[in-house]
Amino acid sequence: MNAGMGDTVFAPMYEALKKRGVAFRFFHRLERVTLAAPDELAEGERAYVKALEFDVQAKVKNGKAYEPLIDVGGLPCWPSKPDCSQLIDGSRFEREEWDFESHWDKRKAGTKTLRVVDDFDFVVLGVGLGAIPHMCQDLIQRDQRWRDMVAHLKTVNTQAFQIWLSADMEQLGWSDPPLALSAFVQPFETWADMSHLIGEERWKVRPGAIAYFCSALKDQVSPRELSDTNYPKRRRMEVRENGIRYLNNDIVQLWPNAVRRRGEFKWDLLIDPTEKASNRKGRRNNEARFDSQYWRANVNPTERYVLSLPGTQKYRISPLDNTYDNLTIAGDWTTCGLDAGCVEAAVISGRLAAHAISSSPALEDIVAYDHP
Amino acid sequence: MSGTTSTLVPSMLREYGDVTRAALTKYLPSREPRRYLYDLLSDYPQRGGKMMRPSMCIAAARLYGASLEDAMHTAVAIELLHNALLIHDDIEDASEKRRGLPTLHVLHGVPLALNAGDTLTLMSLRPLIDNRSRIGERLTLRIIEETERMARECAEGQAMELGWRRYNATDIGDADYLEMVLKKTCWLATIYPVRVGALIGSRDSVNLDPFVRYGFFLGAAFQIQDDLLNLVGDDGYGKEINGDLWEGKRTLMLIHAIRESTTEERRRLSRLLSRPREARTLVQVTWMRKLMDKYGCTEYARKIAHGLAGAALHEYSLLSAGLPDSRDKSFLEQMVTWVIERN
Amino acid sequence: MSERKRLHRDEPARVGPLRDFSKLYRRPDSVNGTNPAKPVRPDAPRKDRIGGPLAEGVELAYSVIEKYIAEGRRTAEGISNQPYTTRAATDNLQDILERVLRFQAEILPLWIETLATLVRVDPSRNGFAAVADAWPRANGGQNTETMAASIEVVSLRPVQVSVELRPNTKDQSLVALSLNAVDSRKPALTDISFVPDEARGRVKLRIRIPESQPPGTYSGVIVHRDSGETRGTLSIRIAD
Repeated sequence: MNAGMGDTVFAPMYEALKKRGVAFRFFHRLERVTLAAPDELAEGERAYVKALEFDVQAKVKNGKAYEPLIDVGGLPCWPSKPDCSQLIDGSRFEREEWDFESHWDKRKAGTKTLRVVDDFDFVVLGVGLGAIPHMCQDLIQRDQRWRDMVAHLKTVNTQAFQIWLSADMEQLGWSDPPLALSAFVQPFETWADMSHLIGEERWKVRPGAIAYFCSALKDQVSPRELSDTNYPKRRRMEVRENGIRYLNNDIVQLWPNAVRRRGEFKWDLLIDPTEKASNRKGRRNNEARFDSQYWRANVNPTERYVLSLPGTQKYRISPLDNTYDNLTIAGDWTTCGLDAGCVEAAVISGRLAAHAISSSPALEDIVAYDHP
Repeated sequence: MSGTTSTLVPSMLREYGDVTRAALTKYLPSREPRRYLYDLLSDYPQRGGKMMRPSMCIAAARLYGASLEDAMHTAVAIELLHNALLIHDDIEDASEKRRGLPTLHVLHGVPLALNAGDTLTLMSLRPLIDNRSRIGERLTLRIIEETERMARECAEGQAMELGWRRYNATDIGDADYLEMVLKKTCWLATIYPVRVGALIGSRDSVNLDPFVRYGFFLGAAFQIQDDLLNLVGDDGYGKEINGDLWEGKRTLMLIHAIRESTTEERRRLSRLLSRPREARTLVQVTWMRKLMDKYGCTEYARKIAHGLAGAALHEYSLLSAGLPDSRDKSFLEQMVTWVIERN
Repeated sequence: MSERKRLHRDEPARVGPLRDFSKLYRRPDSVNGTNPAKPVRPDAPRKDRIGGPLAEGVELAYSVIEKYIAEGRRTAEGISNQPYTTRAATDNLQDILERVLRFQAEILPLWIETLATLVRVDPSRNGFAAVADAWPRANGGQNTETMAASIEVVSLRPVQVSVELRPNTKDQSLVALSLNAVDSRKPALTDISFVPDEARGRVKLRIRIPESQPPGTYSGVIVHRDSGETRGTLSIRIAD
């Protein structure tokens, strides 16, 4: 991939689906998957999904469809913040810092319920595994397999940061070819050289290198109540501290020329996109420069990364499972032949879900599903 | 069956033929050596032709809901293979004309023409491999399997026919003839195109045996009609009249003549057929022709051809029973009358 | 609630993947790719015979084709029903494995090594032979140190360079013999040399293409300067 996965994988898929007439509804947060009650089922009828309850976080002006992508040098990209100018009350969201992706920010503009037959025929449940306990209480209460799945199939938070440097890798002291490296120091034991993105980004002065770092982020011991709305921010600050400490103390092992002395990263190597070239006097040449870069703590339940721990494969459920005859599931947490957390598994799983509700594609045609 | 001339068949042959021809040129490179190879490869395809085989493939695919593009690569491969076999056939039959012009080996000599024929055969692989991106690995492999089967049947049928001539076989019955036609002609001309077409369209979910029956009856009727035209065709016919007689080709008519003739006549016939083509004289060929007329061989063959056409229509009605009406469905049905009535 | 009925998912043909070599690239219940249906008997030959040749011809044709189809079906059933412990089945397995190797090569490179092992191993053994057995490594070692080289091309026209070096070619005393085109009238390419690239601690392959060099593909071998042993190949294609 010559650019980020969001831009090269998800954006084209989104555009292709739109062309085919798929209707997307952004800013709707699924709160509950409701099953039909046992006494509502006819003789011999299978259990089924009766309703889907959503919080409507925001509404789009003039009843239009939300346009999520921005154009960066001809490439459709996902921006890091939603475009509030398209939303009714948009300026209020900005002022009050609504975090639409946070599990702990429950603010909304309304609710909506979709009912079977009236509003939908089939449901493909593609949310991340971490969110299942929060929205699928009916399934978990009534179905032992769903209980087993959420109990045994583990997920983990992750943290990541990306920096843009004015020097290239050679100058930083890395003389080998560009690579992705792992099993280094924790946190951020994985480093991926992203310099190939330089050509895709729009800079007046091109960076010499781009580097991406990531690793798991330990859960905190106490459970986070919904009222703890600051939780994501706190963890984000924690990731910032981790990143700064790492650049000061650890990166020297890989990039010998990136530190002045041990414990002191050359902060002026970082490129601040907001800085004017002329304003050298105002430059921050200390740790505060880190704030111009990008980092995140992936702590939302849907963002948690799915693990394939030993002995847990048997708790996964297949998209082909027909226990609820208007529901299928899709994601790298299902059993799909490649039971690992990756986009490939998500794609195979999605195709299995497509087969579940439409018998197409043929199972034999799903690459990598059948194999010795 | 009705005698109404169909306009659907010629117009669909033209439509599917044009598309196939355009796609086919992409697979014929125009690079060196031109004079020795690549110009030869594109000669026969450029001479036109009915494009019956690729059209039937496309129609069968669309019968089951595939798009024209889904069947295009395979249609191109079929046409390339067909032209390759034409080159070889013309050499083996020592024919002098093809579609009104000199045959390839007459123009360039047997060695270069033979090499060109071999090359065209091999080049038909490329579009079959290109199927992968369009219809997926599994169907691509299935089509290659079907192609291998068809090529084998073709070779066996051709061997039978050539062997009969070489070794002067005279005790051949109608059943032998039908089996030879089944292998040599029907597989490439009518069975394989609709089989792989249906395979593509239905994603290999329907039983393909009914297509063997339909294709066989249709192809046999087609071949017998071809042989009849060789005897009674008019100026529009692109090959030489009585050419089959000159070659001693075992047509249904000749077999019937051998069977019906007196002992004396059979002996003379056998002697004539044992001679090589170059040694045959116009007097001898004219005598053979008169013998056929004496025993009503052309009438006999024509009746059989009509019977086979009827059987083809019957088989088609069985296999198409559950399919919705469409131009393609009518086209494949009307092909049957078209092969009988064409001249 | 509207009058429309609630839709139900169809029962899928199966709910799990196939983990069986023999089913690879074949529909599970198919015979030679087709479903073994009962042969369709044509309508009984019509009692009101039209005329000798026509009806006889049709009957004869039916007998030819039915016999043919039945034969084909028997052959196909014979092939697909064979158990996989007999020698004949080994050939079949070989066949299938070769197909798998050809088609899966891009998708599952790891599997290729394992399957290639099986092709050389008695298939009745359970499990997979250790992968280390599969490919005899040069010098018997597990490491294959690759050599990094930079390539410098001086040419007025677009040039495509393909170079392949054997593993364990650490030595830096390499020489490229002159590269020749198939057409012997085209002059060979000789201004090709390996020079040390001190700055990067590697070797640099320097290629100079004369302005007058005719377009085409030129290839040749790379040898060790002292032993003359071939260490790789080099191919250069000059555009028109």
